[in-house]
Amino acid sequence: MIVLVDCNAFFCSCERLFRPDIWFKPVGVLSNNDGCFISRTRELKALGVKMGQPYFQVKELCEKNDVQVFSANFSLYTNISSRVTGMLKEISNRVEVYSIDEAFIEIDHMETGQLEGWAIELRARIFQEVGVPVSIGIARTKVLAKLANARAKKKIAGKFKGISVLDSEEREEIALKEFPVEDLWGVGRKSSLKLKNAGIYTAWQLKHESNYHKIQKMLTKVGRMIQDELKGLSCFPIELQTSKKKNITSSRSFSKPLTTLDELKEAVADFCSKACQKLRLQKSSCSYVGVHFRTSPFHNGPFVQKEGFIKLESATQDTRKIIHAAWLALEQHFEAGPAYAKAGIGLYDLCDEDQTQLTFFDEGDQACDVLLMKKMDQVNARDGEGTLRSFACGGAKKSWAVRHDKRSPRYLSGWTELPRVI
Amino acid sequence: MKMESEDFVPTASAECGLFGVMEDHAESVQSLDEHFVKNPKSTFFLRASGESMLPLIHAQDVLIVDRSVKPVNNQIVVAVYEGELICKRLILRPSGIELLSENSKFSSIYFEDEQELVVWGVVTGIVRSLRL
Repeated sequence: MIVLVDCNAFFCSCERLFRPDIWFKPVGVLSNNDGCFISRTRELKALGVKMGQPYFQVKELCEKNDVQVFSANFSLYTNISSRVTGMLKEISNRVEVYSIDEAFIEIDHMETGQLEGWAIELRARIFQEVGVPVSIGIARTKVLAKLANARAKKKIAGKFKGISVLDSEEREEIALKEFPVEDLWGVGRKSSLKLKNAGIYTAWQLKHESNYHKIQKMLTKVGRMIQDELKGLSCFPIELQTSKKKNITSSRSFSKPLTTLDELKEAVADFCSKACQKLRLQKSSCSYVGVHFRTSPFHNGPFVQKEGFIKLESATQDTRKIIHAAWLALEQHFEAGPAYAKAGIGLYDLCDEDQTQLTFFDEGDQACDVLLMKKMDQVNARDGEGTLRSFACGGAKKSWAVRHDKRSPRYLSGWTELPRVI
Repeated sequence: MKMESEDFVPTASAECGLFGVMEDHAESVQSLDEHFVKNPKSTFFLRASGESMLPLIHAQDVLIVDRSVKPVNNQIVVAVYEGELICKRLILRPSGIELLSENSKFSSIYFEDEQELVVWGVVTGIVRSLRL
């Protein structure tokens, strides 16, 4: 059976962990630069605040209702997330961490009725030991488990709170009949419109649509796979290994637009540093660097968007070489005048670090450079991001830096901001 | 310039007496983490403040709190009281639960119904730096 464990309003739940004073208050977490809501508790949803809604639109409503608003504190969320997935890995050796707040696990089949008890216990254990509430959906396939989880989320009280088990065909049939086709995993907005035009409104109708050709034509092969999964035939197996990323990007909107080349260079160097750290973490090297930057589409004046690429002599994972390449691309395409609102870089054409092809004129990364990068990553992991960085990233004070005025303390990293007990 | 990688460590070879013995009897380094954090997934570090738990717990002490440990009578716990995390000794009585301060100048907190009390975690260790 496939189990989907999904943390409820995950970022908000993390914010609540050390703050009993906000356990029963509406809580929301904002994206970078305190722009839009990316996580909302049930209480906040009830106030009508939508996912992705800009904060400024509902600021007054939030203040009036004592909504606790936080800037995203991602180091806190990843720490809690790894605790939850660590617990799941103790239960089963077949765990797929699907996202920061969701994981699929595969378990052996149990006798009818036993799964509920197992799920109730798991849910209680995660809440007790890590401190965040989860929903658990159990069914024969991933698509069905996802559907079961959506049902589990709606059970907010009682013995089976946060749990939904579809362990018989009758249960599946009942669940599918009430389930809107647009809420199915893998069915996007466009696909659901096509289905509705063809008279298919529920998951049940999709499951029992016998004209396979029609489904394939509307939703391509993936649609057929979703249909099979609804019938209990597994098409999307548990993926145990997260494959290496084929390319790595880092981009950001600035808190205030940038106009000078120097400012943009600092920002780009900073993006390169972040991306290179990820590159080394997955033991890859890169031989193609891209830079892009643009003005705001909401701003008066002409929309300017630029991009440039540089091919490296040989693959590298040295932050300094990547910054150098990104700056070359930036200088080639920079145009003074416009106020740039967003920029980013991309590392492409990745290969394994030990499979680097050397060229005659370039010997690739030297042992001492590799060691320097390794030490830099170790120090930054221990003392916080950016403790050691290229001078190209500029000083500590950045006019364009991400705004996070409402960020909670670094409860779980470093020693200066531990949660307090009295 | 080439530097030697840190991975280059001279290893014991066949002829050396003492080195060979040491290799056979190698044991892992003593780790405080390993000793005090039995359940990393459910363990959190909290900073103590105030004087209510003197002389056992000082202000600024780091409390090692394990949420997976089942609270029993007479244990030091972190509990929730009026929206705050408080550190107290848990006393289970037939008449209800008492949260006792170690410092007699502070009064106890009583719960008649155990359902009303939320124990956030159990304090399994105290870390205090004596450095001036």
